Amino acid sequence: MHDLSPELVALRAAAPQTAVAQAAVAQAERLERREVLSIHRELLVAMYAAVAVLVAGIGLLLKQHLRDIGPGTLLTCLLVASLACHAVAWRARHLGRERSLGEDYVLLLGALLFSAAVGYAELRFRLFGAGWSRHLLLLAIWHLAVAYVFRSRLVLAVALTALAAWLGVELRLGSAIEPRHSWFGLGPRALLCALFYYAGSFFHHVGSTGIGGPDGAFHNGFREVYRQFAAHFAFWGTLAMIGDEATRWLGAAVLVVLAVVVGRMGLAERRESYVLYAVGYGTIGLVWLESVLLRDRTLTSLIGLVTVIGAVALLMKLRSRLKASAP
Amino acid sequence: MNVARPTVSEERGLAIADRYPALREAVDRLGLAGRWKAATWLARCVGFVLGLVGAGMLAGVLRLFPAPLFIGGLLLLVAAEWLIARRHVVRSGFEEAMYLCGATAVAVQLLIWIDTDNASLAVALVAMAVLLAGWRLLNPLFTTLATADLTLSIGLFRTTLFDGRLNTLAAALACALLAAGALVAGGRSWQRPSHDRMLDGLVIAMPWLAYGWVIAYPGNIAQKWLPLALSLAFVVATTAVGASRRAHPPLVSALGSAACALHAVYMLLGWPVHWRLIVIGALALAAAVLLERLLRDRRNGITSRPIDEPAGLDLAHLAAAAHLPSAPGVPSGPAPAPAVQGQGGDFGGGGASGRF
Repeated sequence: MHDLSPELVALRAAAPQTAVAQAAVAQAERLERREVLSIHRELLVAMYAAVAVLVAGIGLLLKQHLRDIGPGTLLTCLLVASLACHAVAWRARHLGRERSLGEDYVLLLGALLFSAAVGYAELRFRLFGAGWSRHLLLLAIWHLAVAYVFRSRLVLAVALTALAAWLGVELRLGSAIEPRHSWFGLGPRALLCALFYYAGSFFHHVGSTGIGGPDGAFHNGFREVYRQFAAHFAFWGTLAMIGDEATRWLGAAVLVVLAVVVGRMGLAERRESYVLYAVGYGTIGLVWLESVLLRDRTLTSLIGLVTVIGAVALLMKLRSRLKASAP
Repeated sequence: MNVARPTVSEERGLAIADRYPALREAVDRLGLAGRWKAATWLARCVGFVLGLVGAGMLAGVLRLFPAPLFIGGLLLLVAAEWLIARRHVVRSGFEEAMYLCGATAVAVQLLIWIDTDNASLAVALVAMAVLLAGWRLLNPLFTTLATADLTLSIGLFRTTLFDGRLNTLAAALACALLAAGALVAGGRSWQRPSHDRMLDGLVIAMPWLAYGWVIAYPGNIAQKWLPLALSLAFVVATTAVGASRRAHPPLVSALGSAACALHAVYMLLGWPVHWRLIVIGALALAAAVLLERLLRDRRNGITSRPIDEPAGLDLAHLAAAAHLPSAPGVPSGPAPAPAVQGQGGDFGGGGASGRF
């Protein structure tokens, strides 16, 4: 065990004499003296693992008993279970209180059970025929609605994933835009997805909603989920474009622009994560491009090494700037 | 010889800045961390990946040289030492990757020179290299990995006794003893937080490894009750210690041991796989929900409610949730984004944003 409270006593005098700063020191002292311990994070992990195991079991059950269990019974069971999970969240909403951690995960379980039911129904009854991927869009819309009704970031993540799956499948099959064109491969589809997500973040713009109070926390949370998804999908899209010979140079150009934009955004908003994405993904993209373009392995390695050293130097500089810009 | 590393007081200052982001500015103003610059965990991960890529590139450059691993390893070690001594970099990920790769490369080159086919010796030598890196950088992950490697070398040790089958039990015993020793040693007061973390690493990982070694034993004992008894014993011991010390690592260890116990139950049940998964998942979920409800109001200083600690797992879980299967037979689309940010921020009131 180690106890940092002696240092915190010294910090108490040095910290700003504001209520917030002094409360932060007092809280830190309580934690260091081990007066209080939160097992919130341990429970998060346990609940996530439990839901994952449960859903895996249900998935296997469906797979192995597709013929034994009647489709009607199976669908009814899944939908009733999903409804029960949603009812738990609805109860909390009805009582006007925040959902507990467990209720949050029960809601997630409900969303996933609903996905399983819809997926099974589509597989069994071919409701959408040739356009079977539309059920993913239906799921995305449903989960999006549930996420907003219950203000659940977990369900929002499920909705965004379903949307990505629909866009990926739908566009590849060619029912939305020109079908099998190389310029609309994995990379551009991921970029399109990123655009949708980024557009979604504007519904929760800080300026229009304010950042204080419970509504502020809701908008901040949802906006961040959209933006995080957008950043990752955009970078993955550009990397995929670099991997495709037809879109290589366009991908490289988009990567550079994206890295600059995201990096500047990170600096402006003092968000280290965006700066890290810009440098990290940018470096991976450049090294990949070098390895694809240069034939000589030694030369590729040498230039790659210089790129990485440059990236580390840049990262250190940007982090210093971030730290210096702290209020 | 003096190696460049934070002094005890500097390391404690760094630990405060790391643990309580709201106090970083005050730590800087007081100069508690000296000239050392540490990174957030996300920056550390990115630095580590960049370090690995850099080490790979260096290997590509040196591949035509004689003894490339030795030369490359030494170069990486020197570069990492330069970064630490001159740039006062600590836990940036980059120097850690370089040190790890450098030390491992030198060890592997030595193995090539020795030309041995003794797997146990090879693993032990690599473990010593990782241990050296962990000791030098005060990195608990490396020391834990090195210890796990050492137990692997016990498991691989060649012996004619019982056809070497007892090796797995010997490795399990070593893990169990290390876990128990670390649990006891963690009770005393340590000045350097990193030393405490090294013990925490053993407390967390060794019970799981012990369980793994026991179920790897080819005899009948593995299929019966020993794995369950062992994991339950660890659940009880680590939960009791975690609750009495009000410390996270023993509780994390208990969580892992509980998962091991559930796995042991899974193996004992003769039901079809899906029913076993459903029952175990439902049991685990019910237990977690019950615990969460019981501890909503603080009991003996322990609560299930979040308090103002940096909660970097929040967004990680969001991303992880998206990885869950949506439906059987549904074609998978592009992978979801790991929506994770650096710690210490304001996201959603309790999450982490990496905002300074």
